Amino acid sequence: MQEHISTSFDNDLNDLDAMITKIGGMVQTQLNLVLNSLEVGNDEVLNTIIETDKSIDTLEHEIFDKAVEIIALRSPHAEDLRKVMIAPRIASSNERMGDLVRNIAKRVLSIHGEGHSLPLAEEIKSLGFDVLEAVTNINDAAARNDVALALKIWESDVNIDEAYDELIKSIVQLIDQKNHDAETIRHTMFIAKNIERIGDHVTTIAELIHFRVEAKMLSDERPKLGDAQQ
Amino acid sequence: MTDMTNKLTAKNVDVFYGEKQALKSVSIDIQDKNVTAFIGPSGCGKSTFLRCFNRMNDVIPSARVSGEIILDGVDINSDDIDPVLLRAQVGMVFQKPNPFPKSIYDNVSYGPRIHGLAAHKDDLDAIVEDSLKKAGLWAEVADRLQDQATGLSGGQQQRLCIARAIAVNPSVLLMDEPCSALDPIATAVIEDLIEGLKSRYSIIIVTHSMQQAARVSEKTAYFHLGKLVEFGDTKQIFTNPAHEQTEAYISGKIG
Repeated sequence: MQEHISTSFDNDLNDLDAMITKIGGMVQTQLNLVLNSLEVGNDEVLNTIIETDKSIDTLEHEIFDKAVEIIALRSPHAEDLRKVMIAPRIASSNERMGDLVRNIAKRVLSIHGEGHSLPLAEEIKSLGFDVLEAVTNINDAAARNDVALALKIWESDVNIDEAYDELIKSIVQLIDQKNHDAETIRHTMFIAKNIERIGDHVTTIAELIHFRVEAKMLSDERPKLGDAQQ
Repeated sequence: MTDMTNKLTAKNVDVFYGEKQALKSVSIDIQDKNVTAFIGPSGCGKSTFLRCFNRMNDVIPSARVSGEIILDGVDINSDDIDPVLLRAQVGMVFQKPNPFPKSIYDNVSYGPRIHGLAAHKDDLDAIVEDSLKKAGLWAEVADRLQDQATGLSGGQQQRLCIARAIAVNPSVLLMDEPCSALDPIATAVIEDLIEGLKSRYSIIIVTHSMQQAARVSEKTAYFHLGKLVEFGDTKQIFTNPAHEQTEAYISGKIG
């Protein structure tokens, strides 16, 4: 990519890129950790996840401040402007994903704290690792401005929705079987929902990458499941 | 409402200074009652092109202009056009304020007097007052019209030059970096004035300030090495230019 005549402007934009890469990487790590703790319920790891989420919140604020600073001091135009405008929104999506991961960690702690284990752990992990792959890929797409990859991820969210839909059916069957207490089923339901929501935030980031590169928003025609998932 | 008819049309305009070609086959439509900004690096031809619209290149011995410049349907380079009358209709404001070393009143009344626009002293007084009001300077100088113009601040002098141009009833105003010698406050006053003036005049402004072009103009033309690279709505040029050269220039990148 062409460099700016002002080296310090390039440095500012590179700093912003690095912050976006960092927040994406933090969320990716957090999600990986929580998925690997679903069955074992490792208290130490889960509490670390909950604690680390505060750093993600802080980094989101820092990205917002950095974007405001660049707009005020550098008056970016064209692609530079789009890059600076979407940075806080990508950060915001990551912050929300971080919250959802933290919430999963709390629910896993709660289930294991009551001496129970997470039902349907394999299915939930399978959905979770599909979403983790999307998170990993969207971080790559953001770092490389890879709009083709972003679009591929955007379109494939429907697969995650489908898997989630199947998972919810299985959870409903658990209710009928009456083998699990209501609180565990409630947590399981929310864990599944949170994972699916993380996938939705990934599609938002894909849309922002598209905007940065193509200078226009994606029309809202993403393939979606029907009412069954609602 | 802005009138979207074309005030000026340039067709295949070439300008040579001796052997050197400064402008290469430039064609453009300038809308009436609108602000058009010319941007581009130094030496790109934007000021040369601006000077084509009131034949200011005529006064440069080595300059040769070809192609057509149509103002209200008339080719301004045709033999029966008097450049002096043309320059009354197409006024110009320069980079550095250049008031005559005379009184404020004389600066504004000089043009209308030599063009015979006022039959009586009262008429001339009215033109001076009206022009100074349109240029946003009246309130500051009404009680000292006989003071020397050179005693005014830089920003006031530039507004006086705008009043001087307006006084002879132009329909086009050409501005060649009108704020580059002014502080940010005086610049803001001039920019606000441009906003007010565009309901009466077609304005073309050459500027090195990207922010100024973005703030004051509806249309922006980007020039590079004597060619018009891109011309379009200012919003589009500054958010999503079509050409890589334009993007590099407005983003401050090495071309």
